[in-house]
Amino acid sequence: MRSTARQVVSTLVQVILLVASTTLHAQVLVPPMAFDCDAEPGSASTWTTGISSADLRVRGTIEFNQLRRQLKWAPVASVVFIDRSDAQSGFQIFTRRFESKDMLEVAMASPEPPTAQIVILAYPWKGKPLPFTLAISESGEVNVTVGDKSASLKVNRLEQDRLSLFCSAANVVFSDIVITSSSDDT
Amino acid sequence: MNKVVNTLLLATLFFAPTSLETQVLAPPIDFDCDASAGNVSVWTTGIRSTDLRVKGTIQFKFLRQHVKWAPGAFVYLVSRSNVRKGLRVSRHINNLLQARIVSTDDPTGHTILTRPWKWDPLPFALTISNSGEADVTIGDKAASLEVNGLELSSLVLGCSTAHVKFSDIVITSINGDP
Repeated sequence: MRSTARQVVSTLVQVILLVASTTLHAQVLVPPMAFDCDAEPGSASTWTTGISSADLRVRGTIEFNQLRRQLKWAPVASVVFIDRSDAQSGFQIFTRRFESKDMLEVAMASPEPPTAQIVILAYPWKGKPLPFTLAISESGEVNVTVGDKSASLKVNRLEQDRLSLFCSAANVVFSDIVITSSSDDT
Repeated sequence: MNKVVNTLLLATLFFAPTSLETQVLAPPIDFDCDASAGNVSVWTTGIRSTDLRVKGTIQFKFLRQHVKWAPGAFVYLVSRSNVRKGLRVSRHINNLLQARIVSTDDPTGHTILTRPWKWDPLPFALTISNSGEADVTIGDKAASLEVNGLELSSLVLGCSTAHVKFSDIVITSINGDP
């Protein structure tokens, strides 16, 4: 009996040590983070991290400070989950190359052709930071909210292993970025 | 014995919810930093003031030209009062790679590494101990960073007038580092 109790205590101590050490890891970084993303036409700046939570929420703001158009390249920024075969799910913000040059369009990024490029919002590029949320649930539902518009798509959650913030042909500032599990998000 | 078990159970329950956040992201982080001439790309994150280790590699992929700004990469600690201290890596004349410890007060800084230019990834590490002492390592060189008295609040990685790849970035507590 006494030896069983010792085993229980020993197991609990090990669990506490294990959890406490991962908790320490959590406290190393203090949100929010920011990404001042600058890239020439034809180039890109990208911030990428692995993800491990079953469900995840990224929120923050995005603001275009400068557009660097060229004949061949249009300004673009994106916030996406990337799967093992490099397929992206989330949203991208871009300008058309030849028309509506003062407007930015927000479109879903999806490996599925019907969902990809569905424009959910268009707005003048000069202005204040635009709030966004990108979330993925345990069942693989990806929800995008940019400004006051929302859309969703479905992916295989188990295949998603990275989160990426990206810009090209522009100076884009991602601010107040907070990445949480939905269950501990406040 | 029951009291001990109960206390341990409570401790486990206390730690379990806070550990959820740790499991959200999985290291490493990669930052493919491609700044146009005269501009910077910067990733900034808040940090706990002490007990921190950042390690990874810096690799120059492309250098641009600007009349005023030399191509470079940097890893800085920033205080709440916006004092900046850290490492700046750039290409110096005569095709040399130079790493310098720089600060807001001393932007030229002092050189800790000079070597023939290579495009290979260069390992670096930055640590802040519990006592607030900071050390920087790049390649096979190390130097200390005077951060005593500063309330450090942010870690900044970035590049200017160049395409630089920060890879395998792992940020841990020194104590929690395996």
